[in-house]
Amino acid sequence: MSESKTISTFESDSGTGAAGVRFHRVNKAFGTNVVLRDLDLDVAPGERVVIIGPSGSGKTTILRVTMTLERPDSGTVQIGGRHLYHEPHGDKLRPASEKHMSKVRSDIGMVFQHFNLFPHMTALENIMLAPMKVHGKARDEASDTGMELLNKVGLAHAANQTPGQLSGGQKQRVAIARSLACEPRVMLFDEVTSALDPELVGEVLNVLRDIAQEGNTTMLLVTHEMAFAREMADRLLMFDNGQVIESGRPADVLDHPQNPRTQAFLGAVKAH
Amino acid sequence: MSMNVPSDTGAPPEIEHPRTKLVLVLGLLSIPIPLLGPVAWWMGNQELRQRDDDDRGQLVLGRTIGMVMSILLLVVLGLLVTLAAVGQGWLLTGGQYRTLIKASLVTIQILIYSFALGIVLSLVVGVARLSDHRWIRGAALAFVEFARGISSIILIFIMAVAIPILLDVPQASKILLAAIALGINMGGYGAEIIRGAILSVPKGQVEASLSLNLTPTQRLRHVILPQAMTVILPPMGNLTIEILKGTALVSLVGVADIMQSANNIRQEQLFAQEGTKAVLFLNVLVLYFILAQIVNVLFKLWERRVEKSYEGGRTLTPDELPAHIRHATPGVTG
Amino acid sequence: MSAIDDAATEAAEAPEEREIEEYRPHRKWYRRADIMVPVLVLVVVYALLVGYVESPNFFRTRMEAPGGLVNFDWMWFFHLIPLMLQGLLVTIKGALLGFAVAVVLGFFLALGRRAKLPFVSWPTMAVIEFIRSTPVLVQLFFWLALERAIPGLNLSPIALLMVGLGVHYATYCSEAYRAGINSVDKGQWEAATALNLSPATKWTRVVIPQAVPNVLPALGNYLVAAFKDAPMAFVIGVHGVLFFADQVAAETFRVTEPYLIAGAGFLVASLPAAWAVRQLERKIAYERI
Repeated sequence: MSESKTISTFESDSGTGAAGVRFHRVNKAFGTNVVLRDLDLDVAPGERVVIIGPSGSGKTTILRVTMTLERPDSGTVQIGGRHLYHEPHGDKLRPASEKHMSKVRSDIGMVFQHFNLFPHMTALENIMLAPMKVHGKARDEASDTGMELLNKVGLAHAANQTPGQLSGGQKQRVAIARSLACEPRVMLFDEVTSALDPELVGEVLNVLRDIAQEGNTTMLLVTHEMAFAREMADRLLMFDNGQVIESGRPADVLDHPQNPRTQAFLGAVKAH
Repeated sequence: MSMNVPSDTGAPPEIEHPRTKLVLVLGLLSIPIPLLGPVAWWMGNQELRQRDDDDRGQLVLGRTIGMVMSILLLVVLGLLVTLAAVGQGWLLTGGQYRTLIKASLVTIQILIYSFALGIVLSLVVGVARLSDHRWIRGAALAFVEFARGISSIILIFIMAVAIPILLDVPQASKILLAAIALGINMGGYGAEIIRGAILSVPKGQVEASLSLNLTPTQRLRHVILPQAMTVILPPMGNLTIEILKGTALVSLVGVADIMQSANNIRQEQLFAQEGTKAVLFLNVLVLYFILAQIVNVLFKLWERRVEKSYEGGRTLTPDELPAHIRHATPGVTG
Repeated sequence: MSAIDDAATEAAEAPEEREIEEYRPHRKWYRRADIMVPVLVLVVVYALLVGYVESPNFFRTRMEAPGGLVNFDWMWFFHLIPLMLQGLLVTIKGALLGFAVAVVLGFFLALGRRAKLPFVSWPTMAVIEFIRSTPVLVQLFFWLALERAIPGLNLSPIALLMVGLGVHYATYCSEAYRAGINSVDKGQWEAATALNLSPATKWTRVVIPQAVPNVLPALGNYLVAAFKDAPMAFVIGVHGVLFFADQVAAETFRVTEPYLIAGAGFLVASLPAAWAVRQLERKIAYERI
């Protein structure tokens, strides 16, 4: 059918550089609480998409499903043309093995709201872990690139410090460097500034701008920073009740919202 | 656009604690001069109560040695008083001490064997208790229930006496068989410790390691277990002491450990006063106590090492950075 | 007022309504059936054991042991069950008697440990630490030798086991008491002081009632542990479950069946006990101590 045709064209995506993300009729519910409702979502390679919406609307779940932290109840997810939860088997798709998922997953990096740095390792060790253990790099090489990444986020001097010694903003910058070390083709940012004190938000956003400028990853961001969303996003998605209810250029959505729920949400945000 | 990287100050100022060394020295001195033991114990406690920063390892070591010596002092004092009534000395002959100490090597050997088996079983079963497969979980639970439910002395008899005949295995090494029994016992309790500790690691850590695409084994090895260690070690130390106590039981199946040689000594002096035997066993108790405290100190030092991995180093000065970074523009270019 | 009364009678008339409200965690522990029934059962069993279980003097079997060719004979194995049960009952009796000593003695040790005077609390702590980190088996031999050394003292083996297990587990119990007392919120002590309660009232009406739910499961665990240590008392001549196995093995030169039946019988007794303790742990809102 036409559906399989679109899949095959999508698969012609190149193997390196930024990768696209495609959600097709994805459903996810926690008990009776439906968080994703027949969600269709297409993110082009290299695109920067910011997802906004009221809390509890399931926007974080989009990222968690992409990262395989939650398995969708139904529907398909593709990263760079490869199915994440399914393996093609002849004409059909079969539920993917852990091995297949792990292969596709290596294209994705995620930065968490609460950093989730490993507290028993130094900043540099945090960054070196995956390149050494997953990608089999030598210690020296991993250490060199690790230092470069730390320098990129302005924390080379903190290489030997453990997360316990770092401020929230510093932790988040190390976490970003850690996920960059895997050279992901898609990066997911889950409310990366929500757990930070207001004065520390700027330093993290600067790092994000820097990554965006290099432009060789697709970025999916969930955020509450509207000003930042306006500046960063190629496309803004308003997400509510398990579905994208409005989508478009950030200026259009933020300044001239069409959907009444978007208007209400933006009104509430601005009131603060 | 310039970055607002907060300029990190250097290393936190080093605080001098002259008393730390004093406690350690007092503790060490209390080995030849037991009277100093209580002083080291008391001072160590005072110091420990006041702070929780560096040098705790030395403090704990000094205090523990002080404590051990104080307890020995107390035991000896109590002994002297009790035995003064019966008119007895409290020491054994040098030869008897040599026998006991030689036998304690066997006890230590059994302890090491059963500890090794116990740790392996704890890890395997503890992880299996959290498996996704129902059957693996069930089997692990059955093992834990069995190992914790059976009396270690009965298990030793079954392993060392019944099993060799039942399975037609030559009863070659009773030490090994008894150590297996104790190791199974330790594995049952240890598995629960490890299971609890793994559950205590925050969920975000697992998610982060998944997002870095670590395999389940790598996740366990590099992320979860190192963090679970702080929760595992204190109860594991207690458990090891329990197993050390358990090693005394192997004498009942004829292994020449401390207890067995004590019994041999007892039989040599069959016609001596009963008071001598009380003295003999009190000395054996002291020997076990010392062994237990050695285990205790080893675990405390291990805990200290694990704690250290959370502390991290100081910030690097520009000179300490690698050359290729030193010359690059620091911070994020905007 | 009347509206509420009406609602209450209505609720009483509707049968489903009444069935829902059974679990009341705020009821005092000594008024809760799910705690007191097991405790009472335990007391009754305890009394029966102490009163009626006698140690058998020998374990003579009426069946010929099979010859040496078979490694394991099921008939013989089952034949040993009644003998094993006799031994097991003695072991249970010994464990319960010893633990009764431990519960009482442990309380005094905990008091000594909490004493304000350092020359009371420190030696108590030293004694606790010493006893806790040395094997019960050696302690049993020590008590045996001490008992023989003191002229005029003539304790039965089971009394010796009581002393040995009692003193050993008293140190564990004292730690449980200490942790239980520490688990009582500091505000409760302050409130008791603010109300100017006498020390006796403070302890009996405020601290102990709140500490008991936290202490009971720990005590239960130690009771199971004491039960697991009790079989070793055959070395001082208690005719328990291992004595049975030992004697049958010596008589018949067959070792597999008696020891395996002893292990099986032991598990049959200890697993339900451990399970009961876990139930108790779950029932009482048990804060980790």
